[in-house]
Order: sequence, then structure tokens, then C-alpha cells
Amino acid sequence: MNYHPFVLPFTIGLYGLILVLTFLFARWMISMPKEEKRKLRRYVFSFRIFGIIGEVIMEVLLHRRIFRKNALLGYMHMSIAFGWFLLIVGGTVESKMHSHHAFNEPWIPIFYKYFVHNSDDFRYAETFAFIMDFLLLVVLSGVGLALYKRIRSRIFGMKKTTRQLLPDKVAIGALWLIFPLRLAAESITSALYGNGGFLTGSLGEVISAAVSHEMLAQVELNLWWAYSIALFTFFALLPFTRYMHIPTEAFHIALRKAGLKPQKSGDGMTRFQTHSCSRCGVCIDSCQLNAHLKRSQMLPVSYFFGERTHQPDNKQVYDCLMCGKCTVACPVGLDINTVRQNRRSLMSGVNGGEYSYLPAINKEKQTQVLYFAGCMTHLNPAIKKSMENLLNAAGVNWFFLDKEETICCGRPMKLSGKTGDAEKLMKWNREKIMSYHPEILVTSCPICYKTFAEDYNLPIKVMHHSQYLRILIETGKLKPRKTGQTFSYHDPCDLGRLSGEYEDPRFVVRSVGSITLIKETREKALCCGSSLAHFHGSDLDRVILAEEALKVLCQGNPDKLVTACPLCLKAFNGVSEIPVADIATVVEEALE
Amino acid sequence: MSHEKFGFSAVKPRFIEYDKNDRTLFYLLRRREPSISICFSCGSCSATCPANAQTPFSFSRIMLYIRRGEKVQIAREINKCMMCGKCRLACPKGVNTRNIILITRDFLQKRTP
Repeated sequence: MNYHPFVLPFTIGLYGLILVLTFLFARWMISMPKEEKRKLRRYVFSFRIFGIIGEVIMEVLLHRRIFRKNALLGYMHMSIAFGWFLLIVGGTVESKMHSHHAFNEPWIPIFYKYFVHNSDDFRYAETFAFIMDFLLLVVLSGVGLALYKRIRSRIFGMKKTTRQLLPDKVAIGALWLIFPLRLAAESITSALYGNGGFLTGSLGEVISAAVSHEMLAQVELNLWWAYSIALFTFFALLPFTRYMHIPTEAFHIALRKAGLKPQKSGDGMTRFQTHSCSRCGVCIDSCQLNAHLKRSQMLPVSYFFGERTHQPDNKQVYDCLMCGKCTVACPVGLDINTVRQNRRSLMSGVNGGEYSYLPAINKEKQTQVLYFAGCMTHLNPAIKKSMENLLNAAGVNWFFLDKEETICCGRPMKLSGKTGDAEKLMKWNREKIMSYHPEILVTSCPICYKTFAEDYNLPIKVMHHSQYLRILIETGKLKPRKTGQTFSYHDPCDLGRLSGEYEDPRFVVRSVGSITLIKETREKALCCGSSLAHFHGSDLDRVILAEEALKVLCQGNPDKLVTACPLCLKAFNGVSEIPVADIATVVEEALE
Repeated sequence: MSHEKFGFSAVKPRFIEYDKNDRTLFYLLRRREPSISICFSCGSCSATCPANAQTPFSFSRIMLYIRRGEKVQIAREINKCMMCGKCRLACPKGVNTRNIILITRDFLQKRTP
């Protein structure tokens, strides 16, 4: 006997889900731009496919990123997700080996114990019974932890977590019920037929001693029904709830590994990203606007929800520092900044920039190093002066681009969403820079550095001044002496998290003094709060954010706060009790 | 032009018809970016502006146009802005200039596609 009506809810739910998911994923894949599809094809039909498979296994099944965030949270998630996966795999292998057929009914692995009472002829029956019971125990421990997390999320490394919507609550209830119901159903079947492992078998012994067999026979069928209905409920609700991340994430990780990025709002990759968000709420604790200003609309969880269901509103899109802290914290590895930037481009898409007033470029000059200070550096002339002195002291063949007229690098315009206007500014700048035929372009502003390095496609080396100072110090052209001061180094978002440059500025600061150890540093460094991507910040907001960041930066009682960004310098200068200086100024002061 | 040869010209009528001017933009801005009301026209924004170094472009003048509701002048001027944000930091009162410019540009471009 391989069939009973109670398998119907499970089977209908499973096939319905597979149909819906195939339809959705096919639609998203089709809606991808042509170049992206070509990129994917080139990646898939090569040996690099093994890289993708490896990444999917590591991330989808083992969840490296969640373990890195918090070990207990990682165990909770892995025990349920990986445990369940192994239960399915184990059940499939067990049922196929037992029946000696490669193909069997899809419900057999799930309800194996009900259909196979006597497995004396099956050599590995005991081994499988042990493995399956062990896996069920692992999953149940995960469910127990998940229940405890609802009461106390703090031991899982999360101060705040998300509130569940009604469909989510029903789905999570069904998910939590699936495994205890399976345990109960298998135990009672074992009580009747003695086919359980160490867990269900011993539970079965206890039950069969306490309850009469007639009663057990009645309860048994009801429990298998309940187990099947719980599975159906979960499958039926999955596409409408946060659990959509389970199937989507596997695809998303593969696509991300193939190098695909969200190109514009609403395209296939964006859909994969927004549906991969599990609304776990890990990003909430990382957001400074939420922690210090008590705002919550722009949190990636709620923003992605808006992106997923309806048009997100202006505040969700523009009230954000784009510091990238949530992207680092996200256990799914979503590209939150890119999705938000694409949405800005869509919302503010009309480009009417009128820059015909920019002077024509006709002078051709030759220089080795071209120094571009940047708008924000001009608001802090000390940096500019220090750089001039340092470059002269090092005897570099350099030219100060801002001696003649210079304009904005275009990144602030890009951040506002007007990509076309930013392109116009970039085109002018590119011509201007290349008319000097430099070998290296040095800039003092991480905002300019990021856009020069990423958007300009310059055929020359682009360097932030901290990187260039490191070279000058290493080659012995600059010889700063150790002053014995202790510094606290602040990682600017655009240089650190968004461009991945942590070591060079630290090397430069260490050549002058020592750096104090602080808790939130490098990729976890706080934003100064003055980000140009933030369009809804009042002056008070900025002061509060800068003060909170200062508290962290001054943990080790430093003599001086050092930063590599003129904008951060400006933000901290107003609120700091200890002196704040740019990395160039510090080096200049220490010159022999 | 011909009148320039003489070194003088007839002055065009210079009056502003407040009754006819459409102040919707100002009301919209006051609702979405309340800091527009605290501008006291000191001109720090224009002094630091890199666009103003190249061409006659003044954010404080745009603020005046916005308050008066002179949309033609705003539309003529506002697209010269490079959004660099220097004015935002130079402003002694903390007017969120970049948001004002962004809202204004999107408002005007939606009205006149």
C-alpha cells in the first residue's frame, strides 16, 4: 500500500508551489537585460559553474554569513534549514534503497514511516532510522531556539527584530508545527508497529505502554493528516510571505556569483534581490538613522518590502545615508545600495542639467601627478595646504588641478538619481583630467575617489591621498617622525566600506603615531552622518549622528581624531572636544 | 544689439505680479522641506558655489524666485546646479539646499516634460 488520502494536501501544495515558482523565476529571468543574460550564459557553460555550485552549497545550506554574524543564530537557522534539507534527502535515499526503484511516489520519503512498517528485509533500516531520528532532533532543537528567540532575541545578537505580518505568523506557525507533528506521528506509528529509531522508537515504547492500541490507531491517522496539512499550509503561504527567500535565495546566490548586478529598478536581478530578503531584521541594528534618530521607513527590511509590493515612497528612498552598513550586515548579501540607487534613478529620472557654461578645454599640458582636491576639501583649506606642502616636500612633479577652474566630480549628482546629468559632469571632468596627461590622479576626497575609480574608466591610476602618501612614505620621499601621539582613525564610508580601502590610511597614521583600538571599525565603522546621499537630514540630525559616532571613536581616549575625508572632518570638527585633523595634516605636522 | 551702440537703452518694465504668480512650488517645498523657511538670504551658498564661479548662478536668487513663484526664472536657472553640496555645509542656518533643488527640479520637470 503506497497511498492514503492524507498525502493529498502535501502533494497538491508541493506541485502548486513548484508551478508558481517556475512561473515567477522564468518571468524574472526573461526580464533581465540582454548583456546580463549573456554574462550568465558565459558563466554557466564553463567550469566556473562548479564555483557557483560550491557557493550555493556554502551559503544556502550552511549559511556562513549568519554564522559570522552570531553563532547561535547561525545554528538556529542551519539546524532548521539544513536539517530539513537532509531529512528530505535522507528520506528519499532511504525509500529508494528500500524499494529498489529509482522512481517512487513523491510522498513516500515524507511519510515513509507510515507506509513502511516492516523493514526486516532492508539491511540498512536501523542505520537510516538512527540518522533520520537524529536529524529530526536537530531540527527540533532549531525550532526550540526559534521559539526562544521570540522571547529573547538579544542572545542571538539582535537588539531589535521585525514585527510579523499575519500571513508570516500563520506560515511560521505551520513551519514550527511541521516537525513536532512529524515526531508525534512517527512515534505513534512506532508505538503500533515498532519501526522507530532511538527517538521515535523510545517515545513509541512509552506511549504504547500508556495508551491502548485501539486509541492509538485512531490518533495515528489524524496526526499524519495534521502533518500533511501543516506542510500544505506552509507551501501555500510561502510565495506571499518572508519564506519566499528560501527558493529565491538559492537562485540569487548563483546569479550573484556569476557577477550579475541589479541594472535598473524592477529588472530581474532586482526582483531576485527583493524577494531574497528574509525580513530577518539583522539590518535594523546596523542602521544609524534607526539607532539614533528613531526613523524606520528607510530600513532595508521595510524598504525592500515596499520595493516588493508597491512603489516605495520618497522617504524610503531618499532618507538614507547610503553608508553601506546594512549591506555589510545583511546575512543574505543583498546589494541594498545599488537597488536604492537604481530606484532613485527611476524616481528622479528626468535629466535637464544645463552645463553649457563650462569653459572649453583646449590647453594641453604634461604632468606626472595631478591633484584634484574636490569640493569638500575646499571647505577645509587646511587639507589642501598640507597636501601642497607634502607634495612639494616630496619633490613630486605635480599640478594642482583646482588652480584652474574645476567642478564637482558628479557623484553627488549621481546619488540624487540624475545619472544623465552626472554623466555630463563626468565627461567634462574626464576631458579636463586627460588634457594634462597625468600618470596618477590623486584626490583628497573619498567621494571623488570612488567615482573616479568606478565610473570614469580613466586609463590612469586613481588614488586617494592616503594611498599616495603611503607610497611617498614607503619610497622614503617623505620622512615623518614618530610623534608618540595616539590617534583614533575614522574610516570614511566611501573610502572604507564602499571602496574597500582600510590599510593604507592606517599605515600612514601609524608612521606618525599609534592607533587606538575601537570596537566598531573597518567595515563596521560608523558614518559621520553628513553623507551626501542623505537628502532628509537636518543640521540637528547631523550633529546627533556625529556625536554618537564620536562616542565610539573616542573609546580609547585618543589625543587626536584622524579621518581621511574632508566631509567627515567637517562633521566632527563642530562637535568634537579633541582636535580633529585630516591624515595629510597629521603627516605634515610630523615632517622633519 | 543696436541699442548697445548708444550705450543706453529703455528700461523694461520691472514689476512682479504676485497675484498671477503660482506659488504651488513654494508651498510644496515648505511641506516637504520645512527648512526652506529659515533661509535669511545671507548669500553664503552663492559665495561657495562652484557653478557660480563659472557662470552667474546663485542659489539665494533661486530661493527668492521660489518664494515669489517665478517659475520661468527658476526653470532657467536651476539646471545649472551640480548638486555638490557645498552650499549645504556653508549655510549658517542649516537649510537643506540639496533637497530643495532636487524637489524643485523634479517638480518642474514633471510639469513640463
